[in-house]
Amino acid sequence: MTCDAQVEALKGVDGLVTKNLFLRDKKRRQYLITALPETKVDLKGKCSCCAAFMVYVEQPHKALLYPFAYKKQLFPAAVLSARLGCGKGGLAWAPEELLAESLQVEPGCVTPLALANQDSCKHVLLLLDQKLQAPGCKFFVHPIVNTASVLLDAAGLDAFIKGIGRTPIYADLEADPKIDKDNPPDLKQFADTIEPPPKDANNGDGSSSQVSSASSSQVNLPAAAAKATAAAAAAAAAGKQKKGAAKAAAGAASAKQSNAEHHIKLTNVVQRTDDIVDMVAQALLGKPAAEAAGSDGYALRRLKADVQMQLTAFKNAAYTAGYVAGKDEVVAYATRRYA
Amino acid sequence: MTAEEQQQATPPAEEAAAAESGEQVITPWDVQGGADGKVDYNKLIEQFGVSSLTQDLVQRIERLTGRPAHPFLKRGIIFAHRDLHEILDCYERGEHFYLYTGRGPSSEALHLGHLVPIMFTQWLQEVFDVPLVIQLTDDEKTLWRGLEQAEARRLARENCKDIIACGFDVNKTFIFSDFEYVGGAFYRHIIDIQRCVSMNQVRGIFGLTQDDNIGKIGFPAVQAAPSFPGVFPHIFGDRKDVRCLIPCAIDQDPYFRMTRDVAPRLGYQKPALIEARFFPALQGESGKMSASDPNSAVFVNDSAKQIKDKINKYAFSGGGATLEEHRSRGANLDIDVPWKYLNFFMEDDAKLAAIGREYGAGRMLTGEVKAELIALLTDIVGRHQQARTQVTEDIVDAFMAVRPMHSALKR
Repeated sequence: MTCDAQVEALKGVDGLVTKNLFLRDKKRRQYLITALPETKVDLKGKCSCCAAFMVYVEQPHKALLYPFAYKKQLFPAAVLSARLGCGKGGLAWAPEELLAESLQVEPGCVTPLALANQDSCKHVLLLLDQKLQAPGCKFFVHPIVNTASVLLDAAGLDAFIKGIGRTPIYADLEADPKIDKDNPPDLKQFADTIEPPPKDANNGDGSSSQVSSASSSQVNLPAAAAKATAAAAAAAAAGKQKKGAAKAAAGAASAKQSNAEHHIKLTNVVQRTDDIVDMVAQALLGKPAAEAAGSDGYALRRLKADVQMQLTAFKNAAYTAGYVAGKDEVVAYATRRYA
Repeated sequence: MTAEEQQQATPPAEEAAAAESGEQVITPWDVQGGADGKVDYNKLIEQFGVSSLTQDLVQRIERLTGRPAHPFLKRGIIFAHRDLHEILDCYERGEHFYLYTGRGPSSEALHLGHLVPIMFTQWLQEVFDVPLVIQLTDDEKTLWRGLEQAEARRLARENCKDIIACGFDVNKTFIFSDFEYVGGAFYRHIIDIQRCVSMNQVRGIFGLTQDDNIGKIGFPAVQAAPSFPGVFPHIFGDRKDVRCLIPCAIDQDPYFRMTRDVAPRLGYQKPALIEARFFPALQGESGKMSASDPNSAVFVNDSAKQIKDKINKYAFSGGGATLEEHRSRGANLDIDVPWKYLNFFMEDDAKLAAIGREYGAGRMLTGEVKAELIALLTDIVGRHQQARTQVTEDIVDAFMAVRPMHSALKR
């Protein structure tokens, strides 16, 4: 249902509908924005005033539910994004899984009251339209269950927010303040209070972070050159793919990128130095290196420096062997040596 | 471009006057101590307007990286910075930064003074796990030193081997020579920078005159450009937001002030700096290290015997003139070169402190301190030489290849 039809249907109701947007930034922090329908949150696209509408009208003979699907739009809330310190294109619609994970509500059921799930919502910032604070303003939000509506005013909502250990944050969502080096983003301080969720190996949620989009643009290199990178990386380590590296990511370039990352991690010389020196000490002296060295700290440090140097030289040679092989592969392909 | 390498330039009038009156003069082409030959670093901090690198910053680095601080940091050898706080804030937020350093390949022989910033850069790369670009300014050396291009390019590759021997991570390090890499995005940035800087500014920083060749006038932009990630699309893609941290000796500061001034006009953030004191020549603070004077420094291709002889014969001692005088008055640690060298290279804080106490009190003798230093330097130089023999021409090619390194940004 369109926004206009929505408003039309609620004509007789004494209270304003709210719109609730659920967005996320590149670090997967989430933003729940509760605003009045007419507040322009600088969204682009056909429907300029809503991502999800939640309206319940409590009438015994009707249970009207007007969920609206998320609309895929480029750069939602660009101004708001900049004000939050996420850059112009830093915010995107949060995917359904995040809705389920953080707010624990169904699509179309976004509501500030979902923040009662304090544990799962710790990566969510609630941002409220300051128009909700207008005297006499009453508005509807969806309670967690979908059988009733809750009519609140700002004071009531604030009481709930404080009750769950948060501070209510109201802002003029339509403002477009100048942001430059003398005028830092005005809402960034609030975004900074939210910890981003920890990264894990399976971070391939298809999020279009700038780095992977930069490398997808680099995929215009000839396929053989991209293979050369993989060949070089493969020559530098054992070669077996682990699950993180093989996980479906946003295309060939990203898949190669995680291969390279994976192999880079395997070539950490500092860690391996410690491991090898301990291995030798354990095997020959029956104790870890630090213990075996005893009071002669310098002898151990010198040994580790020597081993680290040898490992680095070995790594350079192996990387180079792969690099040379990769180059040869490209030349062989171009000259059809093995055709 | 280092202080010791710009001897032909005519310093502008103010610096000449200062030198006359016995004040210290520090410019990218000349380093002169004050009337007593010593460099007053506090005055320098004030004069240049840099920030002091205090111990709380050092501790912050330790906390963020989870590693003990490098001796250079602990002992105040790295003593000044610009915007280091912001780089650390970046790092804490999980954002990226990269390192940029360079070498002017004017001679084949590198000495310990050259190695110090390179070693520190390697440590920074290791503990922060960030990409690094290293510029070999072979073009600069042909412009200023009149080197033939072929020779400058050869020296660039030879120096590259010593640099690689310091242990950089090939996955995250791009070494380039100007003669090979200038072009494309690099050249576009050079022009952008040149457009923003007047001849007057350049004259002031580099002491150029109307008779200097036009390559010299334009060159500062070549050294400034690598501070901007857009110069390296194979590493940063089209990202403009990656910040740059430049480890360098303090005499490079005036030079990078120009770069910082230009940055916002190009839409970039200013490069940050982390700055080191000068490495003393063997003859002491008033001396100059020079590639042409073998006894002014310990070189990386010195044999064990040469190291021993140089330290014993030429390292300026702050010890007493006679044994009795030394026992009663102790050593003057302020001017003692072996003690200063130990401050650079001895990692064991407790042992260093003990030597300082004993030597300062006259209980330990110069000969013993020198022996400690000789053992230490022999290890360091020996290890460096072993590493260098394992650097082949193909390894140099690999480090210098313009290869995709986007994964260098992941941690």
